[in-house]
Amino acid sequence: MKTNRLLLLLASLSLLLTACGANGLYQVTLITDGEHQLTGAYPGDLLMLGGDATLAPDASLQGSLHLVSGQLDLQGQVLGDVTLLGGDLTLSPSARLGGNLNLGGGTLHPSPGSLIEGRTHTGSGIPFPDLPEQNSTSLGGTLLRNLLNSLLLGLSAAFLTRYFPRGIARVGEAASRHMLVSASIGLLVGVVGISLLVTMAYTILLIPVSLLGLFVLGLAVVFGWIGLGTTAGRLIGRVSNRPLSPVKSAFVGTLVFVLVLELLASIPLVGGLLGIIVAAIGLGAVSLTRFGWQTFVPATETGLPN
Amino acid sequence: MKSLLAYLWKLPLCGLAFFIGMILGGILLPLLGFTPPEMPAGTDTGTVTLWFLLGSMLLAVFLAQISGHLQVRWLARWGILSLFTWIFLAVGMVLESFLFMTTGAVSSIENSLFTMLNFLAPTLFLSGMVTSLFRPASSATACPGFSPQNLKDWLWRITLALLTYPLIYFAFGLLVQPFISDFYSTGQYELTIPTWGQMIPLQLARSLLFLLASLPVIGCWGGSRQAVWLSLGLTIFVCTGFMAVITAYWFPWQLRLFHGLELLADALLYAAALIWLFSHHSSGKTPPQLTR
Repeated sequence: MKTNRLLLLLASLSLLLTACGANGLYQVTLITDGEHQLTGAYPGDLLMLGGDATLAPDASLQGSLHLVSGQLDLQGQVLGDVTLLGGDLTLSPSARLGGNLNLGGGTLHPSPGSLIEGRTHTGSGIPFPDLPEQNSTSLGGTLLRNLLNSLLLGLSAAFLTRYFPRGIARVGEAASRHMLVSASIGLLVGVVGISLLVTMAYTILLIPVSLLGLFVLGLAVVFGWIGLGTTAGRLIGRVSNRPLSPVKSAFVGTLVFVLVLELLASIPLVGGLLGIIVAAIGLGAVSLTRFGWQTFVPATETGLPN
Repeated sequence: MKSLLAYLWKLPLCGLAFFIGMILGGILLPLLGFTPPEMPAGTDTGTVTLWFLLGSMLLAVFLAQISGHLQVRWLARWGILSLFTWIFLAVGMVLESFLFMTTGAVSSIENSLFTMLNFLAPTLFLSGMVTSLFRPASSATACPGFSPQNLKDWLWRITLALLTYPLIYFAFGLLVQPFISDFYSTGQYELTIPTWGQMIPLQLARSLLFLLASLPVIGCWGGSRQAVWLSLGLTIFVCTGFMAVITAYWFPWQLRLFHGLELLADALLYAAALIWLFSHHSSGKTPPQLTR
């Protein structure tokens, strides 16, 4: 079994290789200060937040140029759009712009020989880039997806109950018996966690940690739902007077719970709020029980220090 | 450490066998009248080969585990491993890509056939090397068999198994869809979206092939059910996920990561379903050790 665990670890680690790729990455050159002479081909975009730069006549920028502050003497070629929001942009006679010139601020010093192949937009006329439209899903598609989601979570609940029964029971107990505490903690963890993760993402270096954090947060919510679903399964068994085995009860309970939750979530206004509350209860229960590893015992007045 | 080193030196040999198979396939297929399709945009042969070399060594790690537990003779083990690897790695991948991609390798039936056959020699060479280097310790030559005992048992289990793969495929596919659908809907990286009418028969066909390739492994496995589940599931993942998606280095990381996670979940759940349906309840059996 030790070998199989190692193989599972190896297969999971192989997913990290997705970070190694030649293309498909967004590339940007950022200039914040100092003097720069840019020559040759530059992949991606160029963002200037300060400093003094010259794009030499032989230089070619493959992406777009965004000038927020600083001075840029453009003598070469830009294949994408050029957006001027602040600072000074000089278009030399040899400058070639493949896309549009968007002027939202700053000072432009054009030259007669410079070539702009696209359009020139000024002030509020700057168009937003085309965003891919989300395909509208049909009712049948939505129902199928909801059903598959419920089925999948039901199977996960059955699997977890089979191999991690005590943890699931602890989460379910915390969520059902201490709903208010779980919801409060869940909201706190959700708000603080998301804020922290978004802030981390701004540092660029911590983007992987931020993504991992979001994944763990999502996993905690789902784990909480499974805990609640398992409790619902026991309740269904008791009400229907047909006690099921723990695995079957977890499957049925989670299936019904998630289906009902998705049905309620489709109600305008109230549905969304309900979804947030249930997610908070689940997240809170998982946080209080440390992913089901310890039983949550609420503090009582007698247990508190004087 | 000593046993690890004894294990590790075999992996480059397996990678080399795969590499020789690729060269041989590249020479033989044009002689048979096939024209090699164009490489995907933004790729070069050298980098693709390096990724495949890495992938083949990783695949050898997982195939070794299967080879060490199959209670059959050398030739049968070679056949089982070759069929398994070729179906999951080449045939299944090409069938899937035929509908989801417009790239040269699968742009026509002839090109798709070329791609499938191009993997045949590497698969045979790799499986042969793994079979030779990783043998089961016990000398038993009889397959433990399957759990279904009569025709009725077989029929309902096969029907269920055939339906299980598409269900798992669509369930996890829909889960990752929000993260990757833009790449398909905007036609980036030579990707496209087929219709449901195309996808359902295709997944049923793949399900049939996958079942045929997996059954010999399950039937001849000498070890616990948990071990066969993990070995089968992880090897399927390496064939379908690692070799087909993660090695596609020209794709953006989001596409490779989410598809990778999807295919890992697909493979583990599908293997679990197959084990539940067809494997003997002989969990008490001690798995044989690999001979080195």
